[in-house]
Amino acid sequence: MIGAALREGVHGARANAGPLTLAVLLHVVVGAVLVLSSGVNAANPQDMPGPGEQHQPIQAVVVKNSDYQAAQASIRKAHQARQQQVERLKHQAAQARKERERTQHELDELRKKKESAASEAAQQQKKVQSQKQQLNDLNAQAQQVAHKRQQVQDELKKLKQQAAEAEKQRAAEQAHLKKVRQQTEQAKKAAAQARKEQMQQQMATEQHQQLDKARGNWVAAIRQKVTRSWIRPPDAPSGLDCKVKITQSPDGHVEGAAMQACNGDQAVQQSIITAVYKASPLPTPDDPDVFSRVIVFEFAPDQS
Amino acid sequence: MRMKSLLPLALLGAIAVATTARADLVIKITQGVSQPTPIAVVPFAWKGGGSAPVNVANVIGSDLARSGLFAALPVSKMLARPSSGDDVNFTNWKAVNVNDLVVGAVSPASAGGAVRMRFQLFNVYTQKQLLGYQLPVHDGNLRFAAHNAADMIYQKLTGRRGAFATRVAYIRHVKSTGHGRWELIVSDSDGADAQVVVKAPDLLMSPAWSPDGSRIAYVEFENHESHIYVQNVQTGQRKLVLSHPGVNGAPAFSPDGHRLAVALSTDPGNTDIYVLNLVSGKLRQLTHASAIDTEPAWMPDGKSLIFTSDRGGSPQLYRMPARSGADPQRITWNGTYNARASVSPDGKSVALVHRDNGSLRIAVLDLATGNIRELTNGPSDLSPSFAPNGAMVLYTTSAGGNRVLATVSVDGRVREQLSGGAGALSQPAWGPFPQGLAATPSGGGQ
Repeated sequence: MIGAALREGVHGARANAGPLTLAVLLHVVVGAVLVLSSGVNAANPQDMPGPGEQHQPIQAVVVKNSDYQAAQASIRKAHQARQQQVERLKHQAAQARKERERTQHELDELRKKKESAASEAAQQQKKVQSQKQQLNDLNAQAQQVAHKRQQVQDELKKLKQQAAEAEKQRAAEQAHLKKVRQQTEQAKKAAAQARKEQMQQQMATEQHQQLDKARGNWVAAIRQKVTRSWIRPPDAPSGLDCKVKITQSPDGHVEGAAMQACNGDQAVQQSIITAVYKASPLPTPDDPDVFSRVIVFEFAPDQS
Repeated sequence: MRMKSLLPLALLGAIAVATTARADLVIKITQGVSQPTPIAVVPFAWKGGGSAPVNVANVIGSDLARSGLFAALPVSKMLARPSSGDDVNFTNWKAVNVNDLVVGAVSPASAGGAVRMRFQLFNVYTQKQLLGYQLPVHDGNLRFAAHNAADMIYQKLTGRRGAFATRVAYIRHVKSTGHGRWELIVSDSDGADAQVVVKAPDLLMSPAWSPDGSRIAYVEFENHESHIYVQNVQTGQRKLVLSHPGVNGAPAFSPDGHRLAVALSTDPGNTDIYVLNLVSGKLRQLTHASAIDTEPAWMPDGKSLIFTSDRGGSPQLYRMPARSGADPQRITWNGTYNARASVSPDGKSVALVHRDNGSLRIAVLDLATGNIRELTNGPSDLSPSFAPNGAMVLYTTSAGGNRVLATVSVDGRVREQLSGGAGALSQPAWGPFPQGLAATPSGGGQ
């Protein structure tokens, strides 16, 4: 109950007096306190009881008679007032201490808070830093990743390009292959055709050759017989060239002979006509296909 | 309608002919055989009594064979003896492998008429008649008529004029008392029908025909002096044209017959060529070499002369202009002895005596090339003389220890001795073609 009053008084004093007054008061109080305390074992601020505790010594002093009583009563009253003052001062001091402590506490709190804040800020900073770092790292990573991605993309692009290229090439090769295949096919066809034609031709050629051979033999036999039959006149001009056209029966008998062109005289012509008739019957060919009813003999002894 | 349907056929035919013409099989004959053409001359029928005075077929066959261009089938090989084309079965003649066939007949002189000879020439293979003639026989000279027929056949079959109906002149030395006698003889080209034109007790030399065959120039020695005479063959009249002191030799008529090239000299070792103008009697000296220049022969154009000279050391042939005689050029370079030129009628070659390995042979010089081709084997063949058709060369050769006449075909293939009677024959000269002999075609196989 007293504590509460003190506290209230301090408050009131503080509220009623100016700051100077308060300061002087405070000094006085403090001196008084110090004096009192020497005798009374002034309470150590540290030993100051808390707000619920009662100071016993003060109750031990006793005062006698009515003056006394009155003095006493005035001293008591003054004392009481001082007591009250001290109490108030004590209270005020306690209040101040409390205030100071509170302030300190608040300061501490504040400092703590500040420190905490700083720490927090530092931590935050650190965190930020770390985050930044992380961010950086992330960035870097991201960059790396981006780079990698780019690389990969590039790679991919490249691969794609390569793939495209390969595809293109493949397509080209395919086309080429197709073309080649086509060409091969064509070539095969052509070769087959050629082979066929060649075979036909060969057959034809063989037939031809056989015919040619037969004709060659036949012509040679006729030539020999006509040559043996022709007595060349000694006066036949050099460069003699006479064509006589003959017709023969299938068995080689010369049926007619007509001089076509001749640079020899009548005797030469006669000798030639005689020769072709004398050679009759002309040899017949092995192959009837080469037979010719009409033959032109060209008598040209100076040509070879 | 009918025309329409025929037209395409006609066109087709035309095309076929054209095609055939293009596609004709042509066989080239670059050689023939070089052999005489086989011919059969069937003995002529004699339409008179007894036997024929002349074996006409034999004369014809011999003439043809002597040319070297024909081989006459021996009578013994003939399967038939037709005398007219109507009787000819060509199979018989193909069977004996002859190209040509001659058949004919001789009719004796009828009252007031001449002897007539008919002949036909057939080609056995074409079975065509090539010749058909009926010839009047002049003066009954059936032999000469046969030569004429041979000429016609020869010309028909060779394209070259025949020279069978020609005369040759030569010298015959008949040994008798003393140093014998000399005769200038003219005979048929086969040596038959020899006629003595000049008889002389001394040496006769170098007969030469005038281009028309009417005269013969020759050298006759009288009292060891040589003289050059020109004698008419028909009349026997002769004229002394040169009688210079020394040598008068080797006369040769110019192609125009107006001049006589001769070799003259007062010194036998240095004769020179002169030309005597027979019309004016002027004599021009052409050569002046101190060598023997002799045996002049005219080129057919009369512009130059070929003669023998030993001016180069050995006898060789030289050629010079007939007008000036300037700058004679040697034309024989092959062999050490080339002499006695006889120029061919075409002027392309010269027959000469060529000594080869000591053997004297008849050879032919090609004037264009200078090549010398030997025709005979020798060893002592002399005095070549070209036939007027250039197909044969007449010359003298040794046979049986005697000197005889012979002919050789220009290809050297056939050499044949002529019948010439007894004595040593020398210096033959083949006369020119006969002038204006008529023959009338008989108009087919009559």
